Amino acid sequence: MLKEKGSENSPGITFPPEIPTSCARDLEKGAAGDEILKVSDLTKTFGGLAAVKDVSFSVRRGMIKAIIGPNGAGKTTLYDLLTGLYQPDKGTALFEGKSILGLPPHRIAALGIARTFQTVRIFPRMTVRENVMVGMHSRTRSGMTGCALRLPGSIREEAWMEEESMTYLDLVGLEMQSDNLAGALPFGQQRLLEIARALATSPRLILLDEPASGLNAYETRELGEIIFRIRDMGITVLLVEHDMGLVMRISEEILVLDYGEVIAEGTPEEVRSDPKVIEAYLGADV
Amino acid sequence: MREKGSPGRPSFGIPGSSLLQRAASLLGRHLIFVGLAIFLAVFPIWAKPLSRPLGINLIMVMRMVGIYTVAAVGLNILMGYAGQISLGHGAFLGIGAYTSALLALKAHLPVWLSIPVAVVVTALVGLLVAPVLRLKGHYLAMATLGLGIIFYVFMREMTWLTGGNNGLREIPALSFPGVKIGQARDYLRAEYYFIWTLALIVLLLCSNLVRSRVGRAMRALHESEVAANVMGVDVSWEKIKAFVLSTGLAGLAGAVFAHIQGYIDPNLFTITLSIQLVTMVVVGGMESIWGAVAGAGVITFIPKIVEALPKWLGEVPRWVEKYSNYEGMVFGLILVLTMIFLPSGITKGLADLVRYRRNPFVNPFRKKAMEE
Amino acid sequence: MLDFWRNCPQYLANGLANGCLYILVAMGFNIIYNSTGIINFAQGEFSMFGGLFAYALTVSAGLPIPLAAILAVLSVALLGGLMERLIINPLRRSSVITAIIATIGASIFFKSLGRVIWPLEAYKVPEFTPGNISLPGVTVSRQFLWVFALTVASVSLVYVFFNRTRAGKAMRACSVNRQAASLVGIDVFRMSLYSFLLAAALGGAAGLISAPYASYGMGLELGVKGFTAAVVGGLGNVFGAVVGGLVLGVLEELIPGFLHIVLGISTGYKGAVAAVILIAVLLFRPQGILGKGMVEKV
Repeated sequence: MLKEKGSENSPGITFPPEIPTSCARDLEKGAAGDEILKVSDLTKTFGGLAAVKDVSFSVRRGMIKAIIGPNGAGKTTLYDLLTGLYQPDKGTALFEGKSILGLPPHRIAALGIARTFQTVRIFPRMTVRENVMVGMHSRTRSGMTGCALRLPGSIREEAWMEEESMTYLDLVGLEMQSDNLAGALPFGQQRLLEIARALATSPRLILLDEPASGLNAYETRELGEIIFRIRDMGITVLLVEHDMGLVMRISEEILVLDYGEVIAEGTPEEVRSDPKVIEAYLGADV
Repeated sequence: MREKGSPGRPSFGIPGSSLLQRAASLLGRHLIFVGLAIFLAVFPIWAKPLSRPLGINLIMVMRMVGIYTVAAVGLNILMGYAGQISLGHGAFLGIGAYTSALLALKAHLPVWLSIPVAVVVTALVGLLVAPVLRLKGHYLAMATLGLGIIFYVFMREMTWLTGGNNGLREIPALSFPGVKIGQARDYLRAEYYFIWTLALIVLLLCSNLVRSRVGRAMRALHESEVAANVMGVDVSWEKIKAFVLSTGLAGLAGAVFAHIQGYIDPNLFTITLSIQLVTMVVVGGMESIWGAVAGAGVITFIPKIVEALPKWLGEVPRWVEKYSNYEGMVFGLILVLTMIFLPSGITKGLADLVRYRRNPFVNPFRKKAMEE
Repeated sequence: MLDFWRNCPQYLANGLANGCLYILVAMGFNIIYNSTGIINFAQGEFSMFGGLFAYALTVSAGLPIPLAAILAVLSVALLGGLMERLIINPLRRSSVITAIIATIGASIFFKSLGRVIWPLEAYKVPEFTPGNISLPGVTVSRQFLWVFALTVASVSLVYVFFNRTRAGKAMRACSVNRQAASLVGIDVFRMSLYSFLLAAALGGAAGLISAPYASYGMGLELGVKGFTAAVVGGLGNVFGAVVGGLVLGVLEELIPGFLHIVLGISTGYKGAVAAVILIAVLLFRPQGILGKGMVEKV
């Protein structure tokens, strides 16, 4: 297990010295509270400009952690690095102790990291349910021959996918829309569909990229509930968000980025009162 | 909690519990297939009396429609579903045709063996050149066009093997152990039935494929490569699968063509053929397996009808007779007008109108183009 | 091997002459790509019309060559403008695949149109000045001097256009960022029209000087080679096309020459050289040999 609890980058957080096994959630790997993701010294520059610079942090299993920061602070780039869309210049990222840097995106997805996008990237000309079923791709095995010949295994798997996909749509409240074209959904529901699709990969860590942007107050409240539900399923949530109300309400820990660097990390209260944060972020806005 | 890999036992089987219901749902699912099969089965009965007054040998033309259907379905999976354009598929028909013809002529392989070998060889050649699929959009289009040119030049220049511009002659006719298709008394009809049996099997398998996990992955990467990739779809591998499948089917079409035609030369497999195939896909509709039949039918029948016009009308203007000269103008206009007004193709555009009550004249690609 | 070296000057001369044509076609590809983001698959057909118009105006209509040349280039430019208004403009917000298919449609339409009007396999376009010049080891036609001079003139004119004129600068702005250009008040649609006029004119000029023969079938070959030149020079890099065109022209002579003389391989494979170079560059050096071309965005 982990030797060093409470790294130097998260001074405000102390870990319990030992987690009693009885308290640990019944997860496939590890117990609640261990580090599901550990990022060290992650750096990515674009044409000499550091989008992400020496970023180190860790995420404990089962928590909701938010990443905030002004526009251009490098939050989405960080996600792109963690999901394999970009390769970093240096640094490491361990997911459940395994290095995920250098892996292609689909391998990272299969390992158990899912994400949504800031600009919605659903598959607009596929139905809502098909969108979710694409999310289940790495959990299913039917090959070309099986699918073309409709072998019993493929038919069974397809039937299972159709059923299973509905549970994710139920979760975000899109079950009535399952046969509509995804592109025809209103914007807020497209965001929810992205979350359902990400959940369909059966992740242990989900990276949400500004899920509340473009949502109205009611939808944002609903979103908060959904995020809690995701957490209760045992999925760790990393959340990039500009809606401070939502962030302060639901997250247990907050990481603050500015110009690609970590400037603060801690509980919502600690972050709120951090002078550096107020100066760099809240101060500029308020 | 996370299911590991396999989905485990599903809680319910195929929808529809009673045998009757199941048969009904199966029929509903394959309504187009059954309808098409019945139509094709009885077609020769009234094709013969019709052929003479029409001045078109319907059975002969329908054989070609079947062959083009096989190739167009493959190209449609690549272009319509996976969204990867190929302007070099004519050459893959050529590779299939030459491989099968040479195996039959020089290695004296029976035709029923040389055709499957040709399919495998063509698919392998497709796999060999699959790295071009790393390219996107215009680059892929140009690179596949280049591939078509390269293969054409090789077919023309490897005279010791292919006979160069003289081509190969006296290619054995279709035959199977016990069944002599190409030498049958009514060989056209025999070939017709053989080709359409093959085409229907291909259509059925492909329509199964596109409605499955594999087909969904292809459609997903078509819409957003990044999103599909992050959702766990191995994008480059799915592209290669689609490409190899389409080249294999092109090889099959080419091989059968060689044996019913009896002779081949490189000029049959130029860019013109590649663009004809693209036109079939476009006319039939991207993302439409059954549209490929319509596309192949329309594109194959247009020149035959124009050729037959003098017979119908008695007298036609001279320019109509020189149809082969302006065939390109017709195809060009079809392509341009379809792209402007019905970019998802004629059948698909109209089907969407019915299914989603959507205006087919709204370009479904536009939203995507704006996002990027 | 010795034979190969002895032939080299001739290869170079031929390569430069062909390279000049490729430069003009390649610049056309780049100019359209920069202002519209489209690769115009009908670019080669502009050259075909350049050649056939020149034939029609000189041989059929009996006009003096300089006048015929100017008229031919202008008519091709007009055709390019027409194509932009009728096909490209309605598709300005479509996906790449739609645009590709539409320009291919235009290309085979043009080719077929050319065939209907000029159905023979080859039409003799009169050379500006007939005859050859013989130097030790090299024989070039006098026409080559015209090709060279016209190419230099065209490239210079394009250079002046892009660097000195308002429209040219606006088009450069479009190539960097179309959206930003439209925000600062540049009429992007008009720039798209200009780019087609200019590219068609350049293509027409290439067809015009590609004498001695013009035919309806010449467009595809010139189009593929021009595009290859554009890719070698870096797609989107208008003046990289100069390097790309010359490199391609010379390689296309040297490689088959070498293969034929040294390895005894038929020169018939020459037709595949450009395509091989195209695919190799796209796969291994997509930014072009100068490294300044635009790499496809993710």
